[in-house]
Amino acid sequence: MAKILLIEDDDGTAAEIRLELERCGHSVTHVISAAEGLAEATRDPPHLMIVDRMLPQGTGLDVIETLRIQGDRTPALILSALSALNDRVDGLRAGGDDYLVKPFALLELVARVEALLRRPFDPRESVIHAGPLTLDLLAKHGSRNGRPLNLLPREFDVLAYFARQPGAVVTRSMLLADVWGYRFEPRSNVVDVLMSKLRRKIDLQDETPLLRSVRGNGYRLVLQR
Amino acid sequence: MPGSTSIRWAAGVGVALLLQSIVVSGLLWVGTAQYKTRSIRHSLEQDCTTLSQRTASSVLDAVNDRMNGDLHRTGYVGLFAASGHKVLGNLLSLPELPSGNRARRITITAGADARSGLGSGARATNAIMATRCRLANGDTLILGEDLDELDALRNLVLRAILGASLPAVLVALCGGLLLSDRAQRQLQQVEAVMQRVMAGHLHERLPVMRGRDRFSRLCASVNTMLDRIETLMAEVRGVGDDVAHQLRTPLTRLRASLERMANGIPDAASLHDVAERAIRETDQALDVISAMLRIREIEFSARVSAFRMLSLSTLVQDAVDLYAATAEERGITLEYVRHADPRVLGDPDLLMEAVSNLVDNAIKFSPAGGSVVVCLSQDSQGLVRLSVADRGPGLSGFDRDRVVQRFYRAAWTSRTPGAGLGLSLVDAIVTLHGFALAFENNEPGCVAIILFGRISQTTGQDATPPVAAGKAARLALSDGAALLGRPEGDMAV
Repeated sequence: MAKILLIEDDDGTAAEIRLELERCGHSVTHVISAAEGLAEATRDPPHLMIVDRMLPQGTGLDVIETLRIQGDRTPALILSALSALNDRVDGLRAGGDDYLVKPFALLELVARVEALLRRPFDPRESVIHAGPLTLDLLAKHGSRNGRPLNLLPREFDVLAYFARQPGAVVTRSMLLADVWGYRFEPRSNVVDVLMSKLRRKIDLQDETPLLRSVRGNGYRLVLQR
Repeated sequence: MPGSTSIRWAAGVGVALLLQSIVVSGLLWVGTAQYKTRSIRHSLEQDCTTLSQRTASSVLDAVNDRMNGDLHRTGYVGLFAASGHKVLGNLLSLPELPSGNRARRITITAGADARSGLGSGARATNAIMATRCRLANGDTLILGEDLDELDALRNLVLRAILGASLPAVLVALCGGLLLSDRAQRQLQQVEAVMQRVMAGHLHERLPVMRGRDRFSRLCASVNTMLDRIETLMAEVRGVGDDVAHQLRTPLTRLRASLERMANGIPDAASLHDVAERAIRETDQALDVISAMLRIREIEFSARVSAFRMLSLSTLVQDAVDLYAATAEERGITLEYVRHADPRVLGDPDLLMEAVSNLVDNAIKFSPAGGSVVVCLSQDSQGLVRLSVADRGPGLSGFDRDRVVQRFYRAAWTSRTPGAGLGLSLVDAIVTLHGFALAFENNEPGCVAIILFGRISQTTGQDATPPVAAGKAARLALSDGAALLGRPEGDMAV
C-alpha cells in the first residue's frame, strides 16, 4: 500500500522490519547510511520514512532535519537504541513524528507506521458510524444496532478511537498515548483488562465480535467479515 | 614525637608571644619615659620662668633652698654671672646650652661635690635635662634634673622582659607543641581510617569525640557519608546479584522451550505455542533490563526540559480511570477522594507512571472485597499530598525502610508476580521532581504517600522550586511515616 524508506544500518533488524512491512502489503526501500537516505528521499519521496538514529556518517536526526528544512513533510518514525529521556524529546524536536525504542515488537512498529500513514481525524465530526456501531461524540453515547452500550466516559473514548480507524491495529502504548495522553508502559495488564471489559459490553454472546486482539499485543476493530 | 609542623606552629606561637611582650614592654617604657621627661622639662621651664622674674637676692635664696631641699641629689643648679664666673650651685662650669627657656638634654661631667659620695656620681658623665634662664640682672641660671630615674626605669623594663617573657615563651612553646601535637594526632587518626576505607574496609568509621567543635562535627559528617556509601555499595552489589538472578530465570525457561523445540516438534500449533512462550520469557527479561535502565536514567538525568505545569487532580483521575476495570475485576473498590486541585510542575508521563505504579501495587496487594482509596489533599499551609491506601498485608517498619531498593520485595509477596522494581522507579521519579515518597501503616494495610511540597493555593504555581519543595516536604512529614533514608542535599538532579 505505501512506499516506505527504511534507513537502518543493522542488517538483521532491517531484514526483520522489511519482511514484516512487506507482509502487510507495503513496499520497502532499504539504505544503510544517512547520505544514501537523504539522496533516496529526495530522488523518490516515500510515503513514510523509518530512520535509525545511529547511522554511519551522520545521524538519522540530521536526515530528518535536512528534509524538514527543505519543506519535506514526510512522516518519519525514529528507531533508536537510546531510551534516555531527553533523546525522545530531541528526536521529536528534530522533526520526527514518532519514536520507538529498541527492542520493539514488530507489531508495535507496524501499528505505528500505519497510524502515521492514516489521515488525521476530522475534528468537526460529531457522530461516528462504524458498521453496527453508532457513536454520538457530543453526548458520549454509544450503541450497537440500536442497543445502548452503557459505556463509562473513558470506555467511550477508547471505542471512538477504534471506530475512527476500523481495521487498524492499535497497541497498548498507542491507546495510552492517544486516548489518555501519556507515554509510558504500564507494569501490568491493565489495558488488557480494560479492553476485556469493553468487549464484554460491546460484543454480547450471540453477536459477531468486533473488538479482536491481534497476536496478543494489539487490538483492532473488525467490521467486515 | 611531634612533627615538624607541630614544631613550626609552636615556634611561631612562641615568637609571637615574645614579640608581643617586647612590644608591650617597649611601649610602656617609652610612654613612661616620655611622660617623665616631659614632666621634668615642664617643671624646669616653669621654675626658670618664675625665677627669671625675681630679684637677685630672691634668686639666691631660691637657689639655696633648692640645693638644701634636694634630698635625693638629683637636681643641678648653677648661677653664673654675666662674665661666666660661678656664683652659686653644684655645677662646675657653665654648660653648653643655648639660651631661651627650653629645657634640653645635655651631658655634663660630674662635679666633685656633695653628690659624688652618694653613688650616683660614680659615672664620669651624666645625662641631665637642663634649662638656661637669663635673669633680670644679666646673670645666667642653669637648672637641671638628673635622668637617672629613666635609666632605672629602663633597667626595670629589661628585667621584666627577661624575667617574665622568657617563662611565658617557654609556656607558649610547650603549650603550642602540645596543642598542635594533639591536632596532628587527630589528623593522623583520620588519615589512617581513610586509608583503610580506601583499601576496601567500608565498615570503618572515624572516632568521634563528644565535643561540639568543628573537627568532631566534621568527623561525624564523614561518618554519615561513609554510611551512605556503604549502603549504596551494598545496594549496587545486591542489585548486581539480583539482576543476574532475575534475568536468569526467564532466560532459563526460554532456553528450555527452545531446546524442546530443537529436539523435534510434532505440529505447527505446538511450534506456535513454544514461540509465544519464548517471546514472553524474552519480554520478561527485557522488562527487567529496561526497568533497570529507566531507573538509572531517571536517577541520573536532569530531565527537567520536559517539565510543564499540569493539573494533578486530572492526572490522578486519569490513573484511576485506567485501573478502574482492573480493580473491578478483582472485586476491589477503587475510590478517588479529591480535596484539592493543585497544579504542579512536572513531567506528565513520569508522574503518571509513578501514580499508576502506586495504584497498581495497592490493587495487587489488596484482598478481594477490599478497598483502595486514593486521596489528593492540601493542608492549610499549602502542602499537597497524594495518598494511596490499601487494606492488604501492609509493610512492617523494616520493610518500609527498604521497599524502594531495587528488587526488594517484602517476604509475603513472593507469590505475587513482579520483579520488585516498581517502587524503585516511583522513588526515582519522585526524587527527580524534588518531591518526597513515604510509607505509612494503614493498620491494616499500607499507605503510599507522595508529598508535592508547598503549592500556592492562589497562583496554583509551585511556591518553591521542585528541589526545595522536596526538602520542605520531607521536613514536614509526620512521625508516623518512615522517610526513606535520604540525607539532605542528596538530590539526583
